Amino acid sequence: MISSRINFRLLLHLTTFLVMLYVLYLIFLSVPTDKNLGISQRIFYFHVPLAWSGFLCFFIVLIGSIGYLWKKSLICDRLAHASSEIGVLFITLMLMSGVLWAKPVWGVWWTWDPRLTTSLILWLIYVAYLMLRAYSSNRQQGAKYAALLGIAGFIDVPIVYLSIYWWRTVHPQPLVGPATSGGGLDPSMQTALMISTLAFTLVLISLLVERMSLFRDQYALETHVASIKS
Amino acid sequence: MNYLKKILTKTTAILVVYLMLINTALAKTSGDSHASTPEDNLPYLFAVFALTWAGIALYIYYMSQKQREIKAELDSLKRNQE
Repeated sequence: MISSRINFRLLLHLTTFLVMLYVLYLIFLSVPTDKNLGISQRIFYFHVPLAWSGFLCFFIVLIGSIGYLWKKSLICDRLAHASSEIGVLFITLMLMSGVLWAKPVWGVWWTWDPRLTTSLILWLIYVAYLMLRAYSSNRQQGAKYAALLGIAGFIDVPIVYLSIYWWRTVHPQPLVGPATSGGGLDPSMQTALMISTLAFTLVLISLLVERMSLFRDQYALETHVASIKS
Repeated sequence: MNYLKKILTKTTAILVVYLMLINTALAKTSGDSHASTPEDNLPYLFAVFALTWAGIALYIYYMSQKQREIKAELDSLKRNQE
């Protein structure tokens, strides 16, 4: 059982590594350079998948939080906690890559555009989620409040996605997803974007599997120590 | 949990410094016209890729530290039981 679990993890990490290598090949050697944006357009192949992975993490936090409040399932709590950490990591990287892309394209590092502002708010919500967990003295109470914040915080995800339709913005229209108008992207660029999104989703799953496993060991150890002390 | 607190405090501090540096750079370059040739934008591309991998590597390092902590605690428990 343990051996098959390790084999699965090894296979997952290996697949992630290979797909990521292929993505790097596509981005730097295969995909054509954009005529208008130049070489900086290649940031797109990291920026969009990072955003997607971050949103997916917060969706997992939502599911885990609902599961914990409903069934009091510790696995759901661990899933939400692990996913929130990885989501904060991805959204931090998404914001930083956005800042670094904005400078050559817009001429400024940051602007209080609706898409950028709502993304920053999203980041702050989930940093608050992690702080709530880290600073609460009672684990169960912390988990309960964090679950409520995890559910309420997810409201910002569709707001981030739809902000460019609701308000005037300098941010480009989405090229993928349910609210796209379609077209506008070279087929080879679209393929690279899709494979890059898959690669980052695999990175997410790999990190999530490892973090969940660590949480399981940590909780088991804490329970064991508590039982010895009592 | 203490490790997470330290990481959160450090991350927040790094982000504040990062935003301050960006504001300073923004103030200095507000009059500049932005890069026109593709090669001028290469440092931005490099920075994005470096930051992304550094971020993921840092998180993996954080997890390995947590694993080391758990292992150390397990070892001390074993010693106490013996």
